[in-house]
Amino acid sequence: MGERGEEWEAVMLRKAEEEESKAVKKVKLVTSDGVTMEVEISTVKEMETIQAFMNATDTDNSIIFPLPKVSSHILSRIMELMSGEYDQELVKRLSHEELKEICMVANYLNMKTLLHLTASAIANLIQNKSVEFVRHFFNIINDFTPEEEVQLRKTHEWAFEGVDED
Amino acid sequence: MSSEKNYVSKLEKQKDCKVCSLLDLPEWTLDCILECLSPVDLFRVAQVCTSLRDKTRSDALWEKLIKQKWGMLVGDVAHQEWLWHTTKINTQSHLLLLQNQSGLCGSFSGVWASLSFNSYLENFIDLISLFKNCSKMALYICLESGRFWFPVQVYKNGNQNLFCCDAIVSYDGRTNTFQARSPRGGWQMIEGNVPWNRLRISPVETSPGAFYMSNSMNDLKPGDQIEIQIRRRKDSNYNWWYAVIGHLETCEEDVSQCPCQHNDMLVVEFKQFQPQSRWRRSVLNRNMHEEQGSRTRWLGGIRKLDNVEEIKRWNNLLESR
Repeated sequence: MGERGEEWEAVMLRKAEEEESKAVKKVKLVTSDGVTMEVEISTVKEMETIQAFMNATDTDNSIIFPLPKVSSHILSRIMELMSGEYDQELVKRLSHEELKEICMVANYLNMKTLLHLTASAIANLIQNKSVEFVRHFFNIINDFTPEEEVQLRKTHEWAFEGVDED
Repeated sequence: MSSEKNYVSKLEKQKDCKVCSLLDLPEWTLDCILECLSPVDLFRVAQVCTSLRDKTRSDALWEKLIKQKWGMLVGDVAHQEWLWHTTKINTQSHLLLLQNQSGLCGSFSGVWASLSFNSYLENFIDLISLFKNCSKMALYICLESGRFWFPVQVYKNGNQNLFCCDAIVSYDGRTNTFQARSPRGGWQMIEGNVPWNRLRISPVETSPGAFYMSNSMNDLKPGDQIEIQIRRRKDSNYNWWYAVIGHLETCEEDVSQCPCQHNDMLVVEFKQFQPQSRWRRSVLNRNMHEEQGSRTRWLGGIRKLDNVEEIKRWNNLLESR
């Protein structure tokens, strides 16, 4: 009997452990436009910035995490990409603005896979495009002096043949 | 426009420049993007603003690109030659360089400031500022625009010939081929429109005129594929000839009991010559570690070929004759 009792106890203990891990903890992300999105803890694992915070606080209660730099629109796009396992086709459907913002957020939340994906998508986008296009895309103002521009053009002369229309 | 005014207008522009975009990202994120771009795209991105110009010039980026396109031809020796040129140019006064340039640029005769043992750099004056701070990008530009003549070996596959000779080459981007000059006196042109697949990095560090010391002389046996140094005159450079180790005349060519491997004499067979040609076979003494032969044919050191790709290349050339 004593032996059986111990066995019984062990089974119960295992069951309890399983249940604990089954009860999926949720994380609430609050976006810049005030929307609260509840996501599973596994989703957050890839967001290293949040993960680091969770590791530090180690609480059983559900966690609320404010994301003042991320809009609900962009966050839901990111969720789509994650659940689609970062399909290139999904990336192609993003607008330029979305792509840029997602890249910034990927950096802010330290999501490595997403960062590489968006970085190479941006590179594809600016391939074979004019200087003006890149300037506009990156939202950068030309700060060269005319002399510097002439100098650069001289050095890179052959880069200007066969540029795509924007 | 005066330079002072220029400077002011530049400052104003910078003040206006509300960079609130990807330039705010940490370095390595931007590097991620830049790493995916081709050289031509990088040149274009460099013209966007000063900050991107500087980022697109990093040595790490260009080292990767050089490896990609030029890795199979530009080896350690070419890199050393490049370093030799740029160091020399960086330490010379601009005025002196200009004088040199106007006097002797384009001529391969005589000893010019930028003609090193094995390479030549021409028409570089407008790139001098790049040599110091972005040497790798400058190297890429000089390779791509044919300004840097670098050392390689050219496969020659003529009528009676099949060998590799040392040369310096310059790339022509329009035809995607090379011009080759011989390192022998005067750097005369030896061939134009040489395709990529007829060039290779020299497999040995021995200079073209020096005897190659082999460490496999005693292991060579019939059927081994080799390259052997040959020159016509004692004062000229060696070329590397493809050959196969053959059997002695006394041998019955029974491979399992063949004594040729242990004989002091070594038979070298040149398949590129007809069997009846007097150039078809040469016999060497294995134990003489110096040049052997006679007038018009001096045989130097032997390189045993172990690399399957290398052997295939020679055989393809043989078959294409």
